[in-house]
Amino acid sequence: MSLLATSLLLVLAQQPPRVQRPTAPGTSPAPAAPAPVEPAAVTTPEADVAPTPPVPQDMSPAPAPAPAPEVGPPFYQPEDMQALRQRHGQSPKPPTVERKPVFRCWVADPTCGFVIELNATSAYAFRARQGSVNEANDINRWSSARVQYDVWFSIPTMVETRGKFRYTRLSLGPKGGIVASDSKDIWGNVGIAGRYWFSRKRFAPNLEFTSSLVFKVAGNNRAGNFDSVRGPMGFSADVAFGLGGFGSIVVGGQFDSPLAREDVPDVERVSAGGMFFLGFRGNIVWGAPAALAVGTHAITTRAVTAP
Amino acid sequence: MVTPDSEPAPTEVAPTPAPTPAPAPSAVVVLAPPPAAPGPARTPPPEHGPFFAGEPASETAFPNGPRTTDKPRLSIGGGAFCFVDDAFCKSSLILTADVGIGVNIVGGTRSPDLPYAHFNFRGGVVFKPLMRKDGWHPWGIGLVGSWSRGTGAPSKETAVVSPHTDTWRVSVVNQMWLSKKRNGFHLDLDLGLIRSTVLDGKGQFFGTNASLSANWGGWGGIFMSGDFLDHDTRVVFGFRGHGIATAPAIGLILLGLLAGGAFGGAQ
Repeated sequence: MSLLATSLLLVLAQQPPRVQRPTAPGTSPAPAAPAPVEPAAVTTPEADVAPTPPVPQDMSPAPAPAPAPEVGPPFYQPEDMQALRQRHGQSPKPPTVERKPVFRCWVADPTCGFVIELNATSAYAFRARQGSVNEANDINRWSSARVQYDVWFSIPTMVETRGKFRYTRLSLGPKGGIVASDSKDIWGNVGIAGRYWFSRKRFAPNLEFTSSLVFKVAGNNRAGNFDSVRGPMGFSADVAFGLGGFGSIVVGGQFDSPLAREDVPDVERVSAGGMFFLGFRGNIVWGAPAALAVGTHAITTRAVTAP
Repeated sequence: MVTPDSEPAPTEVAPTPAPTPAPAPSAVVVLAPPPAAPGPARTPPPEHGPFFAGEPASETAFPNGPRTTDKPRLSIGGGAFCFVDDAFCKSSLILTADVGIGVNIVGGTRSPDLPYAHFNFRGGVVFKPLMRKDGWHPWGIGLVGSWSRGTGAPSKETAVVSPHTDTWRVSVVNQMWLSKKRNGFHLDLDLGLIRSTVLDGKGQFFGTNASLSANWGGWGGIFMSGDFLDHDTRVVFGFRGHGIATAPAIGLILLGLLAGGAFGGAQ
């Protein structure tokens, strides 16, 4: 039995391996025409294995002798990869080095992956608030400013690959922060922020979009003191066009829901309000957005009073 | 019947592990590995995800992103203590600020339920006591304290009876890390004791706090929290961020208010 198995293995080992080699097509034998198969020869895999003499436990079929480069993975050679890149329209020379971001990854960059960023917004705001309900269309309108500080968790949700480098194409994640305007109005906000990158460069153009729940946190209370203030939940949304993670031009709006149910005491009622805004948003790490926001906030607090 | 002479046996069904290029007594026959030690080819690769998964094996990476071999960010002792919590930190600092909006549910008929918002500061430490060296465990536990200032109690009077609501909390944090990845996702359940005013009363009373949060590493996340006092319940949904990210925002907003004269009587 052992002699029979050894002989069988010798025969098997001389058969060419049935592995498709992508290179050196000239050396591969021409594929033979498929031989007709007798119906009786069609058997189940178990039937194929069954007549095979059992292989001893301490032996296994030997691998076929092959040239050294083709023994194991990778089976594809550099010329195969070039053909693959050409077939899919890829650059023949993928990048092997990549630039470093100027502020490490504290400013969003397509080369960074997960980024925590703190953005400051300074914007002109056209504000409005419902006036007396006893008069038709009584709406108070005034020009003001909006300042916003938001923490973004930019999670790469769609990526692209060049060579062995991965780049963020679309980031999406939760965000939250503080909004301020005239009359010491302070809102909190909780929402979601996304950014779509149009290229991989340092100042890559991108489209930002956010939406959030907005709620009053502080302001002048009924006694005229700057303290906690009640307000119902509203919402805010904006879109922006930016360069890198450094800055963007932002357009958006905010709506403050009214609190005027019949069972709410008169002193607790809140009118509907809101604003449209157009401004600049940027990461505070490089300084200018933070300075601009503080200045805008200070000037607005001093110079603008809500009607 | 297919005979061995007509077609070789398929290599996929070879009863022994894949051959290895071991030194063989002849060119065509090699000795298989001992049966007692089957090769990795017999073991199917472990399923990857969705929970408790590490970084997947990949030939690609973000050029400036962290490498899998890097230590946790802002850590000392190779993750023995982290200033920003992460999946492979044995102990970590908790230092967060948050804002939230919810409802103040008042028992009885004294007042309707009204909106309630707060800002909160939270600090403490968490540990992964079952994480051994060169290992990982999804459970973490810790102790945090927090202070929040929220909307005042509802009132029917023109004068503000309760300008704001301050609350102190001490809570036990239970972490369930659902990922081994950097900045991995984890769910936290905080249960603890609170001390706060009830309605528009002046006295301080004890109550219960429960909070469930979804977090990314130690950077923060979103949460839902409830403060349960006698006839005074406050439920809040909000966003929480690590102090490294939120402290500058708080400083800048205070600086703007200060420069604008908000604390000096400017209207």
